[in-house]
Parts: sequence; structure tokens; C-alpha cells
Amino acid sequence: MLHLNALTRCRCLPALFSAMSLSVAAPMAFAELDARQMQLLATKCVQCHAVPQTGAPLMGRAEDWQFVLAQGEDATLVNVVQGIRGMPPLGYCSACSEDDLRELIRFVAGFSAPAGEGQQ
Amino acid sequence: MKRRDFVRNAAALGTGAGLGLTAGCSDTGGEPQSPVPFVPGKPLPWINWAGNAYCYPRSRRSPASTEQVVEVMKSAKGVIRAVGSGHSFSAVVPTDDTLVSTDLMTGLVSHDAAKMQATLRGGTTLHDMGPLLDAIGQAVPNMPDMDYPTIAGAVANSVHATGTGFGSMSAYVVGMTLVTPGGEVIECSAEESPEVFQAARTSVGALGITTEITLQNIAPFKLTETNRVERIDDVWDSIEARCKQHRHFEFFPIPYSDLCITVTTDIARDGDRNIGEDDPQAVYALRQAFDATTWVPLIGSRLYSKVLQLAMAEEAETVRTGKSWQVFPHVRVVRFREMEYTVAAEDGPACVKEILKTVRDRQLPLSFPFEYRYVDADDIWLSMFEGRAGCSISIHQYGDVDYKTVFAEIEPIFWKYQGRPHWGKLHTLDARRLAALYPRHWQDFQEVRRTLDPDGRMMNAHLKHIFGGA
Repeated sequence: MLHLNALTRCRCLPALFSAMSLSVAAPMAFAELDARQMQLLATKCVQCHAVPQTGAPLMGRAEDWQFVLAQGEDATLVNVVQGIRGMPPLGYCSACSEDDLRELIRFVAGFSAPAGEGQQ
Repeated sequence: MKRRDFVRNAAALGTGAGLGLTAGCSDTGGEPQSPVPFVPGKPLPWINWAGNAYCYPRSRRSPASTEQVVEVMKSAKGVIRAVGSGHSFSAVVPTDDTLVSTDLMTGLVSHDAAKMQATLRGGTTLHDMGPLLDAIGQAVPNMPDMDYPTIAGAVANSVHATGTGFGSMSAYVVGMTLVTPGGEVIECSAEESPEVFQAARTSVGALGITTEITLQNIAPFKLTETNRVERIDDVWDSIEARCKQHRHFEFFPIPYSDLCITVTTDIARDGDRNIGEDDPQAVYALRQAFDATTWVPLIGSRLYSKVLQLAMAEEAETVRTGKSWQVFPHVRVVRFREMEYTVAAEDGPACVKEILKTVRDRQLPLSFPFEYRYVDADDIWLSMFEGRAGCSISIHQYGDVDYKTVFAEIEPIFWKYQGRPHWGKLHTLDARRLAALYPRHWQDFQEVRRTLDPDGRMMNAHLKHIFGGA
């Protein structure tokens, strides 16, 4: 069944991320995460953004993020902090600073990092 | 809305606590979802999942180890509160002083294959716990029907699932590492510091910060869950047999309706297969049907009941099968607020019937299905199931609708049945009234609390309300 298959895939992601380089490029952008942010991505963001039945935009699927990219990074940050529709406030990340959230948003949604920041 | 659609969403509905009747990506009505606005560059608030609790802590700390938690405790200023996933509805987390995130304290510490025990860091989510334990040939016997909470948060609040033969998550804990507000590290179990252990297994985070938890597990197993829409009278006629026949049974009475959703879960058999598709959008139709019919003068609620009966007339069921940690939890993407009390198991039917009648008689604006579960007795001092098998009854309201008025109408019914409120959910009881519900060990807990936290450093406003101050 679709959602169970997806769940299985999702649960593999933390291990996958752990095994990856700590400087990982998202498919659509050039955001870089440090080890701490990578841990937060693996334990928080992927709970929903890698599970189709949540209705959340899926990591790596560019078409899901067009409406997010269109609203801009600051507006997206506000939505992440406040929560929106199915998105929990702060994306469940109580350890995240504003800078952490910005980096994670760039990585997950595919926002380009500001010039001189996180370019590969 | 067809019955099939409805049944499909029993999974999304069931959610241990909750039923979300609006879909993950649907508009919930235009009300602000956040209790506080955020402006980039300005102080970052902490907000709970339900959006009914928040704070602006002066200091945020994110320790990654027991040693770092010790350092935090020794250096922190003011009231210290720890936060896991923020899924508590009650205000257990907010502090203006020091907020300690457990987000970085995750993963498996060690395991004992012979004893079938495993030690996890406190910030590990139940979502990650399943595959971590599976990889070492273990599984928890029971799990809540949503897996976002951390293991430390779940244990602190006696988070539970359903099953007459199963206790709450706290019941499977055999050891804990606790860092007190003074920075002392206490290893506790039934043999080592047993009083601290009994208090810490359900503490609402009043004793310090739990950094590691050891669970008594069993071998991995597979489950099959079946969801159906049934007549509630049929459930009452056979509820004892259903509880004995099935590993897990629960159901969701639908206000203003003679129908309910039943969920039975058993060990999977060869040939079990998934039936139906997950469709969180479909369940939103229940709210739409309620809103579309109940405004009609005099006959609104009856009209709603009729609509539901017609909509669910066709036969259908949803079946989910797989590894236990894949079947127990469900996706929860809809905001709501929840009150839950646990009454003695034998009082469950009378209590929920009185609530349903009250909702109908007073025409309360409540369309969320309730949740009705059984949990085995335990000996944990402040567990809702201490000394008696319990029936946990949950009432929910949409996140964009006032809940206080409706909950205020229903809460006295729980009091009448000597109900004990869920520590992580909404209620109005204070220390005096809570003490009366825990006559055997309330003072025992308070003595341990005062010993470990003599200055009340873990006591925010809510904890002072429920425990009576330092």
C-alpha cells in the first residue's frame, strides 16, 4: 500500500543521512547543513517531508515546492515557525534557531542560499 | 462522503489521542493557527503542536548528552523546562527562563539481547524508536497511535495506547537516567533508587530531565489493523468479548450519531493484506456535514445523523498490515485540542454514554468522534492507571474553534466517575483535587519531588497549579 511503502522509505532516511557526508547538497539547491542541522533534518523534517500521505511537500520533488518558493524565504520561515495547516510549529524543532530553520528551509524546499553562503 | 471514505480515515482519526478531521493541506477555516505572530529577526517563540501554549524563553539549550544536561542544570537560570516534540496540550512546557530541547539527545545507547531490553536517549521519537529496536531484534509490546512524541515525553505523561492486556509506555520502563535540577545524575530502577523510579515513571517532568530510558521489549512482531463503521449498540453488546478476542480494541463514538468507528488490531496472519487507501482529505467531510446540517432549527442534529447513516451505508473496511511499529502509529496532520480522562474500566460505558447524551441534549457544537480505549492497571505512583484498569475517554475540538466552553460542559461528567486527567492533555484540576484522585502515592511523589527539586526550579505555572508549588 502506498503509504506503508512510503513510510518504510522514510524510516530509512535517518540512517541514510547519517551515512552521508555532512555537507550534502539537496537536489534542487546548494544549501549546506552542518552535522547538528543534519541530525535535526533526519529526526524532524523527514517525519513529514518524506511521507506522501501527510500531504506535505516532498523532499526532492521539485513540483511540490513551486508555491513555497514563490512566496519567498521569509514568508516560508514565518509559516514554519507559526505552523501552517498540517505543518507543526517550528517543524517540531525546539532546538532550532532562526538560522537553523533558514538553513533547513533552504535545504528541504530548495531555496538558493544568499550569495557567499553555502555555495558549492 | 461514503462509508468507505470514512473507514479509510479511521487511521487518521484514531490517533491516540486524537482525531483530525481537517486534512493536512486543506484550509481549516481562516482562523490564525498560531497563538503568537513571528517576525523574522525577532525573538523566536516556542509553540506546542496544538497551538494553545507558547513561550519566549530567555535561554534555549540543546544538550546532546547526559553530561551536557548536567552542565545545563548547573548553569541555567530561573525555571527550567524540558521539551520533546511539544505534543502536550497542557502547559507543561512554557517557561520564560530556560527551555531545554531534547532534540539532539537521540538514538540507541545499548541493548541486552538476553533480557530483551534496550536503552534509548530521552529525545528519541517513537517514530525513530521502532526501526531502531527492530534492527536489534526487539519491539515494544504496544505503542500509541501516533509516533511524534519522544520517549521521555511519553513516559513523563503516561502516554498510552489501547488493549486490556497492555499498560502505558511508562509500564515498559525498567530503568532511567535522571539529571536533577541540581545536576545530580541518578540511575534508577526497581532495584536502584526505587522511590525515584516510581516517581520518575510518570513525573510530568517535575523531577529533572530524563536523559536515558531502558525499555522491556519483546521480539519483533507483525500486526493487522482493521477499521470498520458499525452501530454503536452492536459494540456495546459485545465489547467485553471484543476486548478479550482481540489483542487491541478501541472505538470512536460519533456525536449525534448511532454510528462509531471500530479499530481491532491483532497479530498478523499469513495472507493478510492491506485494503483501502489512506486519504486524510475524506475525513474532513464529517465536519462539513456537521456544519452543513446542524444549523437547521429543531432538526439539525437529527439531520446530521441521517446524513451520516446514508453516507456510510455501503459495506467497506480498511485493513493495514505490517511490522508493529508501522501499524500502531498513524499520520496526524490536523490541529485539534483534546481533553482526556481515565475512569475505572467498569465505568467506561456509563461515562461515555452520559457524555454522548449530554452533547445531544445540550446541543453542544461537537462533531469530532470521541476515542474510547482500555489500558491495564499498573503500580506507577501518578499513572492514570495506578491501582486500577482504566478506560480512557478522549474529547476533541478543532484547533480553530473554541474548546473551553464545550470541555467545561463535559469535564464534570468525568469528575462524577472519579476520572483521572491525562497529564499531557487539557483539564482544570488543581493539586488539591488531583491529590484526592491519587490517595495512595500523591504524598510519596511530592516527597521525592521536593527532595530532588527543593527550590522548585522545574515548576512553571502549570506545574505549580497541579502540584501545589515548591
